[in-house]
Amino acid sequence: MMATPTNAEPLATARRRRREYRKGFAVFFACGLLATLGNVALGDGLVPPFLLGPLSPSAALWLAAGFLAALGLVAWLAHGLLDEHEISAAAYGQAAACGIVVVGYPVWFLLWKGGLAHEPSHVALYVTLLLVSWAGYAYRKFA
Amino acid sequence: MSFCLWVAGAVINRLKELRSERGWTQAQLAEELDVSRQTINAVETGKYDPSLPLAFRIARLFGLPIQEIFDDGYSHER
Repeated sequence: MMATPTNAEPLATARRRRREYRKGFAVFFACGLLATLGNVALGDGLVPPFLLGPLSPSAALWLAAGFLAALGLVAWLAHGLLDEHEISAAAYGQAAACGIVVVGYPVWFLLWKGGLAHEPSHVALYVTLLLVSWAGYAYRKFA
Repeated sequence: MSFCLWVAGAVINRLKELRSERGWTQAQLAEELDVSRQTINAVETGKYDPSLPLAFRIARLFGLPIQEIFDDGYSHER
């Protein structure tokens, strides 16, 4: 047991928070893994099967609202669970991803206009943005 | 006090030295400061400069003024 000038309550709080962070991370990872496996098995590998065809306007609105609500919940949880270095790493990853898209999209667009590349794909751009964001976060946090 | 290496523009710190003197692990120190172990490692290796609030918490924990833990090199110029 280490001698410390702080009392026991912040320690217990910190331990509980880290346990919750690990549990939350495991739940989100499991959900992401299941969704990815589902997309690979039933969809086209990127888009969930129920989004392969057109959606009714009401279904689109409900899905968009659900996505925003889930994202808000995750952001709220993350705000309470992450420490300053993790937040800094996440911001670094997002800035890197933004830079890739800001530079990469015009280049891809010009190459497409010149007949040298396929038309820019919003799905490919979104996936690239996510991957670069995660890579930037991992680099800043673990490298 | 020993700041072994200083490069222009870099902030160095004695966190690892102070932690070792007390026989604490990175995980124990992280728990005391309410941050992750990776954060302690990043600060110790100079990959991440802590915010002022965290620097104050570190100083309070070790019972030292901030400038005896963190050094931006200006104190060596005079």
